[in-house]
Amino acid sequence: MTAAERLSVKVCGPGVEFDQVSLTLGRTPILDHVSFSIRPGSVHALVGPNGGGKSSLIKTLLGQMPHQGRLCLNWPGEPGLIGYVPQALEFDRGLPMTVDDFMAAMCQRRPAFMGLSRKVAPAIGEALERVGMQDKRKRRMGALSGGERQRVLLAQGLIPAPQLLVLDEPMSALDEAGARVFERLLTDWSQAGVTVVWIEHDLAAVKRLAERVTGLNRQVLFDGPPEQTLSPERLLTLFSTHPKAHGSAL
Amino acid sequence: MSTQVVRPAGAGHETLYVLLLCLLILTVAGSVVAWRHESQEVTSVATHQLDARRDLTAAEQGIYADLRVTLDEIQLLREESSTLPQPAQLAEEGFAPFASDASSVSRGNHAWQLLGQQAYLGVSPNPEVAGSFLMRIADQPDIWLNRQHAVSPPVDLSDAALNQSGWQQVIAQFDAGVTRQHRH
Repeated sequence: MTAAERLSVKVCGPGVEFDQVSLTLGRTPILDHVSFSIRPGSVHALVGPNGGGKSSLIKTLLGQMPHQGRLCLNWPGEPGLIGYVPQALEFDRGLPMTVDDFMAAMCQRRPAFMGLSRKVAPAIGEALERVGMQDKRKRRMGALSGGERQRVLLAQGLIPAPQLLVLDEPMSALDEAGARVFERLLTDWSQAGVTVVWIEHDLAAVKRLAERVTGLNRQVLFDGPPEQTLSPERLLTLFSTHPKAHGSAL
Repeated sequence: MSTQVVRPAGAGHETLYVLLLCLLILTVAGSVVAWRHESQEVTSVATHQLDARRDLTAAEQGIYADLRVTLDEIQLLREESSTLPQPAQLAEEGFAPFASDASSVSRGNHAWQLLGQQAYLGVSPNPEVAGSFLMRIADQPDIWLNRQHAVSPPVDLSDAALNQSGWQQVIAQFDAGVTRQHRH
């Protein structure tokens, strides 16, 4: 998306401001004075090694962690909806739950065994269409491949349409077709002015799709546009065992 | 434009809500208790009286209870013959405590007599086990107890005279103490 296109987008997503956010669980420091901001309506990627605190940062953003520091969402209007797509879904493979059942359980108040509610059925159909799972609606969740399940999770994140979308490694299990679907979705969200916070391991995808990227390993190691920040030395620092803060480009 | 601050999870406000809820429950429970509260009437026993439940020995309680039951029979017999039955007659019929049996012996072996047409007197040879009893048959029959040795039959059966000669009225009270034991 060009700068001109970006200007024409009506931003509906919030800006996110991390100000000296720290998190200690037990006696393990997970986040150490993390400060950065996410622009409204941008696609913001979080990269970093395993155990670097990316998922914890997202849980903190969702208000599920006992953090210190100030973390606020600056909504352009009234506070809107936050969508969350988890990394993976753990459930028994033999569970007789179809894709439709799962979507019903996630999207409607009526119990899933009573079928899809008429109010959300079109939205569910459209969401599954967008992720290319329309023809597998009657399949059991346990019978889906990892990539297909990830697509269902993405579809679930689309209903109701969020203004802030938090994605925890959505591409880790996606196959090539799924990755294309995801890229299309990302473009759609970007055009709709939705703020997307996106944890990703695939640095090539980050470079291609994200507007801004933050390297996180307990503390912010760098923060900036991917073209500038994703240099080999930075990445060496980022994925080294002992994080050093002086590689940041703030 | 509105700013939403993400509050830390489990950082005390849940604890505060739980404590506030506890406080609310305690307040409601406390106010219900205070509202439904009934002050307990403490009836005191006068010095010339004895409480049937607390102040009598086991044998005295037995005799007292028997007297109150037999009083009904005595009143029925009086209606039939318009005179009070003699203790010997009552003993023949087997009414306790007039009848002489193992329990009457163990309760002090009282010697019963009729005083005029007014009262029954049971003199106890053994006041440590049970004192002497006097049952006045009037509009309001009542029972008196005397724990002195060698009780002589009272001549004057008025309250004051009985008091003078060491008799105490046995009264039964029905209050919360019937089910709840209080130490006096």
